Amino acid sequence: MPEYSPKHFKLPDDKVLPKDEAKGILPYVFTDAMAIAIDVALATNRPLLVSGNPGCGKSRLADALAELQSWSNFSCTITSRTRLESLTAEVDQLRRLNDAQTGRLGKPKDPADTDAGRPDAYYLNPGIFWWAFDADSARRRGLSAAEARSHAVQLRHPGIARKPRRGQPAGAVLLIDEIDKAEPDLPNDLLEPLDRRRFDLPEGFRADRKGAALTSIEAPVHKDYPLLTLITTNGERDLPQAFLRRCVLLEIPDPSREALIEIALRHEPAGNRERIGAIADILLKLRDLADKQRVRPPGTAELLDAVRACEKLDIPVSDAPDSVWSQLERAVLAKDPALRLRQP
Amino acid sequence: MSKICDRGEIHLCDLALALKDLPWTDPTQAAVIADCLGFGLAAHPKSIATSQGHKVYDRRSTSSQPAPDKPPAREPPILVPPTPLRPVSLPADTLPSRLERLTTLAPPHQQPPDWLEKRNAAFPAAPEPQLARATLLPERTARHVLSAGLSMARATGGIDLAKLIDAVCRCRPIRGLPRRLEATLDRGCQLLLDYSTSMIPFWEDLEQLCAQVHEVVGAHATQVYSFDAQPTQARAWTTSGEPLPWRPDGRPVLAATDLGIQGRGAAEPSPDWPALAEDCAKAGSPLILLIPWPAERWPKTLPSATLIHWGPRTTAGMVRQATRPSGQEG
Repeated sequence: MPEYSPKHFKLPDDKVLPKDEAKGILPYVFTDAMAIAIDVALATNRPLLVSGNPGCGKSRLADALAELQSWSNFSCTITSRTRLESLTAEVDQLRRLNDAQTGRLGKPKDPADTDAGRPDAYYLNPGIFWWAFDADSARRRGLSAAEARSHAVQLRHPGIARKPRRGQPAGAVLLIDEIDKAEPDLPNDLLEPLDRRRFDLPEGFRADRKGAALTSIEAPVHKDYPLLTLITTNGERDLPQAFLRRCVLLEIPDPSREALIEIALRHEPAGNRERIGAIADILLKLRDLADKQRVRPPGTAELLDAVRACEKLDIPVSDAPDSVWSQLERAVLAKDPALRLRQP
Repeated sequence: MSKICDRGEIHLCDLALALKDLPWTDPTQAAVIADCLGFGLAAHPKSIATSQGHKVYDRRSTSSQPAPDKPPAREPPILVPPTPLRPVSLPADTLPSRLERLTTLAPPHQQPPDWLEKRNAAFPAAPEPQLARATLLPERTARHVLSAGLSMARATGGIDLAKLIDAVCRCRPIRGLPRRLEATLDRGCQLLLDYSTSMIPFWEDLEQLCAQVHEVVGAHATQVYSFDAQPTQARAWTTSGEPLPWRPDGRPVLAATDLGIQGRGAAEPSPDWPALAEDCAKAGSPLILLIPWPAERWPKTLPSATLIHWGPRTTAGMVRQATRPSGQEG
């Protein structure tokens, strides 16, 4: 396949996000398949569902793209306790009750500039979707600018805020990590925020936007504010068909030996190529073994850990059972007992 | 076009938009674009495909467990007809022959000829095995689908703290403790089965549905009625054989029917259905229609009820989506 040049985002000629130690940026090697999938997701304004073995770089793809485009970056790791409200907007009922007890609660029509009472929206905790759709409003919990000043509401940005490049619109990458850990209903609950880039506030609550009291939070149109929602899955649980049918799909395959070496050398440019090759060979053997043993195979992330440790501590790769390398291998690459026992 | 593409599932419009917009230069790149949108041969990547089981990392599984063997070569089915014998070449000349009247009509052979025995051996003496039949509501989903469709919300759950605090904070009088809504099946249901001629292909499914509803809701809470084309004339039968006419009583009404359309897209439903829906609405009984034909074939004028496709791919999520009040559509 000839090289693909994406239209909706800029990719360096070598398709690599370069390492920048001063800024704490790690390198990332893009493939043509990734470039096409991201471009398709941006062109069609659909979420990108990324699958692949653990440690293959699914979540890092979001960071790398945000860094490359100078877009803001928001991320949220899903657990079995994650609910739609925690991702959109949640009411801090305890604080509200406490304020009601202490008489600090405001009536809905209290003037905004009095210190006596707090308006309803003061108790809204913005979730990651709110931040990604309308960060300014989320920072003020949906209060007007005057109310936010009056009540000293100025929340911290939960992700990485980046200024857009000159002449380019501000954009954002929203990472919903490990969707397969969610309760079965959550992916269906996400259909509206993902589809329409909009969600409703809890009943009875309003958010201010240019003087209007809105019952829902909505992202600006795509051309003014490109927003890529990147969802990752390890495939541990089935996702609903309705959800899958709304996503652009990208599967990141396990990298080949050459790709592993290239990735490792991007991370450790001064690394010993031979040693990295030897570690990559061991990783590939362990992958085969893991496949037979039906255990989790070590991923690229583990390879990078091993390479970094070997480079920093100058550990040679060795077959000797009591060598330092064998200890390192057990600690970093062959974490699963099944891989240690069966290793030749 | 982009406005249309922003909504709902990915469809051809998205593919057309992507192919028009993106700078692909090679058919392989176009194929990858189509793959990303689910239009390729490998529509769903292996790790998120739902038809196959996911790879599960299970520490308990070791290599001592035998790897799943390849399935043995399939034996020919028992009821294969015998291979026809090769035709015997006939002599070119016509042999002389004559007709004789038989004195008795007894068969020339008392015992069946060997060749007949041999051919019959292909048919087993034991009764034919019952072949598995694909059902409209498979066992693995039946419980979830029926629970989702027949459960009613009742305020019997834990205290709804959010509502309580909201009332306190707004200085509203609290006349009763607000409780969380719970889905419950304890009201039971009325099951209306359509045994009209257009439903003949699904009669076995009707029987199976009846058994499944009994299992999920409980036989004691399920009242089964049957009808022939006219649902308002549905009857149950008492043990003494007396007909018991159907009346809605506030319980959910589940009707399995094809609305008389016989799978034809343009057909209109029987006028009895709006009357049934009206009766249910008056009694406060939610009406759920299980229709064995896909939504594309449903009539354009439909009774006001929750319509669910009665098919093996129907899931509880789809039922919940269909039964959700229109204001809460997601």
